[in-house]
Amino acid sequence: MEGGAVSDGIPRGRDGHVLQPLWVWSPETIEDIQSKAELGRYTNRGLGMTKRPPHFEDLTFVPCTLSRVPLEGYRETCATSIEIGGRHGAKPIKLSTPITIAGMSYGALSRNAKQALGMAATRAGISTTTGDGGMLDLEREASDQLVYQVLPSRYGFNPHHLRMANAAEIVVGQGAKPGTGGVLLGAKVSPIIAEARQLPPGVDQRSPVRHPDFVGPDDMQIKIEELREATDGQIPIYVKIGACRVPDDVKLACKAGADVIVIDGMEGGTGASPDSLMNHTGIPTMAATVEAVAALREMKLEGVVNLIVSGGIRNGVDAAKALALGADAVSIGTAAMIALNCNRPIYLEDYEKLGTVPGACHHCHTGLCPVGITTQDEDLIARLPADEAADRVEGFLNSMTQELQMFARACGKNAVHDLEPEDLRAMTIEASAITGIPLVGTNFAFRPESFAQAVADAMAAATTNGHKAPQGAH
Amino acid sequence: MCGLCGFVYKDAARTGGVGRVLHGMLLPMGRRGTDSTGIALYGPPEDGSFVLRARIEANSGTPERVLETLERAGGVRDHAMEGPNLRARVAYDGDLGDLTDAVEGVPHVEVFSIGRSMEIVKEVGDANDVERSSPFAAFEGSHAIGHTRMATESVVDVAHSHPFWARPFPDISVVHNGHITNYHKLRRKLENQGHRFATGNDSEAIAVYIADKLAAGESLEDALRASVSDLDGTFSYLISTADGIGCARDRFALKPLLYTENDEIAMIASEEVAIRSVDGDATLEPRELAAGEVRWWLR
Amino acid sequence: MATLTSEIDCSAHTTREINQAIKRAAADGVPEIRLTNPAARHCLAVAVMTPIHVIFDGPVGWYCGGMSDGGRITVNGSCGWSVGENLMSGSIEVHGNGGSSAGATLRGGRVFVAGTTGARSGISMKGGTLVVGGSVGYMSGFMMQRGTMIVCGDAADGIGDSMYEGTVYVGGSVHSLGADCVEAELTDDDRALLAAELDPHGIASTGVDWKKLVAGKKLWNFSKHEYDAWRGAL
Repeated sequence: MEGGAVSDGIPRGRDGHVLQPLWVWSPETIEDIQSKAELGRYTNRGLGMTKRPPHFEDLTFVPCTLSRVPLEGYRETCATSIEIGGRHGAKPIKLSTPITIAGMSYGALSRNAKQALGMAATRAGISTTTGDGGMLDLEREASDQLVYQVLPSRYGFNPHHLRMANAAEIVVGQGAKPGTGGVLLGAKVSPIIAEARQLPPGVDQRSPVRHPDFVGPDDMQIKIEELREATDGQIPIYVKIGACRVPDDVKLACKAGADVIVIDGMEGGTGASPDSLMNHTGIPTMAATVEAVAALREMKLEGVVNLIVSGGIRNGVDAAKALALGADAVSIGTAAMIALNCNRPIYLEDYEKLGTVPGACHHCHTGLCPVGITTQDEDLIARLPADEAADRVEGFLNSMTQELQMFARACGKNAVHDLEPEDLRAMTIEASAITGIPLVGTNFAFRPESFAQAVADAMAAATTNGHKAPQGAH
Repeated sequence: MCGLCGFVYKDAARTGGVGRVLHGMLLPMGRRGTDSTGIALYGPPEDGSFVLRARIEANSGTPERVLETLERAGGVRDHAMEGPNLRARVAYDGDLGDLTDAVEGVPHVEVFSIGRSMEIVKEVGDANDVERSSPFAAFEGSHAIGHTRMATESVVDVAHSHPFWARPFPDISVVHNGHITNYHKLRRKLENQGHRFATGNDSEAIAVYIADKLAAGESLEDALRASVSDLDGTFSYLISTADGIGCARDRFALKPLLYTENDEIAMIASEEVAIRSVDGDATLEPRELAAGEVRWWLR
Repeated sequence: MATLTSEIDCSAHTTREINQAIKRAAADGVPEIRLTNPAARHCLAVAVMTPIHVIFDGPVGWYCGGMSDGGRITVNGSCGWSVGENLMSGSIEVHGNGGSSAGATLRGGRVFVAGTTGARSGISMKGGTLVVGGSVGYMSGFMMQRGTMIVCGDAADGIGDSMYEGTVYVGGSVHSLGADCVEAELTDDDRALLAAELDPHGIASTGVDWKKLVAGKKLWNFSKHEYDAWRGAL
């Protein structure tokens, strides 16, 4: 066939033959190898994993119809608030809706972004979290409830700020890069950021993976005691963990004395991290939620130690499913940034200069965020006036709350925290196996216990009836 | 993760209240882990016999069967049951692996230790819970090691608690703080050499590893030094033998371990607070072991 | 009218009570408070934010003086891990051996340990001064950013690994240098600094073969041409 002018949508070469890229050596892989050859190291970027994990997307709700009674929207109230962190008598964090803004550093984010998030959180009655770089005064002023992170690097860590915070969060790891430290490339270590972190400006800032003053959960118990002594026992202590060996980690965090546990699944975002780590470490948030809840139940600490889950929470539906699985609240990072304007189709020429387009931009690590979120450049920051940005985030938070209530009411609950696994069904065998929720169209959860039970039932039935092995799945 | 402690009288002729000392060392370290507590104590050996410590599940009706098994093996010189805990001195000179198998062939029985002088007691909870279950604070002996546990990956029960007896080698046990990350590889290697494991706990592998080397004729010093390169992960551990105590710290000094000594005694612990509970006047100043350092005290 | 000194027997109080008593005394303008029988307890004198002299007659445990700003702490005994961690200002003196991570993430002020300290002493220091009369353990000065660490004894393997702008002085032997740690020329200013820091403790600064260690700066910005330096660093 000649000419290559066939327009059937199938990629063809000039001679008309179908082009056949290899799965192993895909165009992405070819580009990856060749850029690593140039760079002499692995690649870093922002945001999170590119491949699709098993996700809340694979679950569906089964609201009331005939067998149960739904609640009216608008008229019949659906409670959303929760208090967390009171296990050891500290003043709890009060969430009007079970959503928090996750830790993102001033340094990775611009000051306008941090201020906007703080303002939105205050209006919505929730909390924000500092990040790897310390507390920004603008954020403390803007955010009524500020959680202060204690990170391995301790960049900008100030005990006075700790005492000004409403809670402290020991960061053991995060979902995007568990078990590894971070790197903030020199372009983002501006003079102001550098001074705040006591670093020479423009260096590639490497963050350690371990905390400098303790190793392991038995030592962390003493660190938690130190934080309580420093704050006169007044504030809750959170422990944040990247989702890996969740049952063990949750139990250990409980034993070490955590008031709140934050589990960040592999979908979690970051300002800059190795691409390979994002896609190949950690487990999905949905799976982590199930394991964390089971671990808390085993420790008899469900509801005593609060559970927040994060990583790929996109909307109120994901939040509702996380709550139904047993989480006390969800935390959003990337979603909040997107509400701010991340990947919005404006300033298109600046996306182009970065070599990307809106919708595919994960170039936070360059420090040249076209919309002024993940940058320290004054001209770019000016594109994100805090007030308007706060409005957008508040709007998004409200939408999440409305969705939470909508699903709860539909399932006949007058409190979103009454959502339960029984309100869900799994759309795939995989989701069923991960969560223990029955597969749609069946009464069966694809878990080892269910198989064992089914076999036991079948054998019991066979003996009772004197029949041979019964037909059918169940 | 955990708290470790050890105590030894340096003079081969000297014995004393090691039970009381360990009890005092373990209590303040209970904060490091309250899942379970265990101690390996070394008392005076008796010729031609071994002392056995075992846990027999309550109301299982099996203590008699255990005693019968021991009688058949060689004869029971004395025995005592304290709740579910059996202590028996057995006249025996055969393979300890066989004896352990025979005893554990009786249902609901777990052997904690068999040794000429070593006796292991363990219980869920802290040192006071052990004392209530298997009184040890009055134990007179030459040396002892102890452990308080915060379970990391394996189950919280007495079976998975330290100290681990390096079965079937008499009088060798280990207590460990940390996590051996090449456990499975190490275990497979040792199993291929014919060793057996009673639990899935990584710490047990250290006991078997050291015992294997000692049985091959290596000195305790050499075995300890080799362990620093052969074990991967985080570890501070104490190993006790009939003759004394050895300890080692990983090459990155990740888990705490300090020691102190004078001409008469040596004490090792994860935290100074354990030492202070025994030496309240602080006459002995502790020192941290260096990264990759090993130390040993043989009577 | 507050008494000029106060004394507390730690054995009769919880850690919280002890720390609250120290804070109250500081707020009341009591200049000095003496604590007996600390028995190596953890988290004593944490976050002392006002000028007061806290004296421990006996050893302390982990995190003594951690996160403090402006107090003065004296320990007549040894201390555990992370003494003075994240100290903002003020001083801590330990007349005994110290544990690992002494002076971790120090921001300012001064920590002095008369004896030997453990691994990762002075880790991630961001300012201030750490003085160790004895030796320091493995990977001390790791990722040090600013500040001064003076080791009168020996330095174990990996001293000053991955530093930014800190300075480490070692009077005894250096077992091995950490990644990107290089020796620099000792100047008269350095000698004056050492004398000023050590004379008050009665430690000789002259007649010692001081090694001055700083960052080689090869790990400051990634360069693929420095493959040897970066191979293990990322």
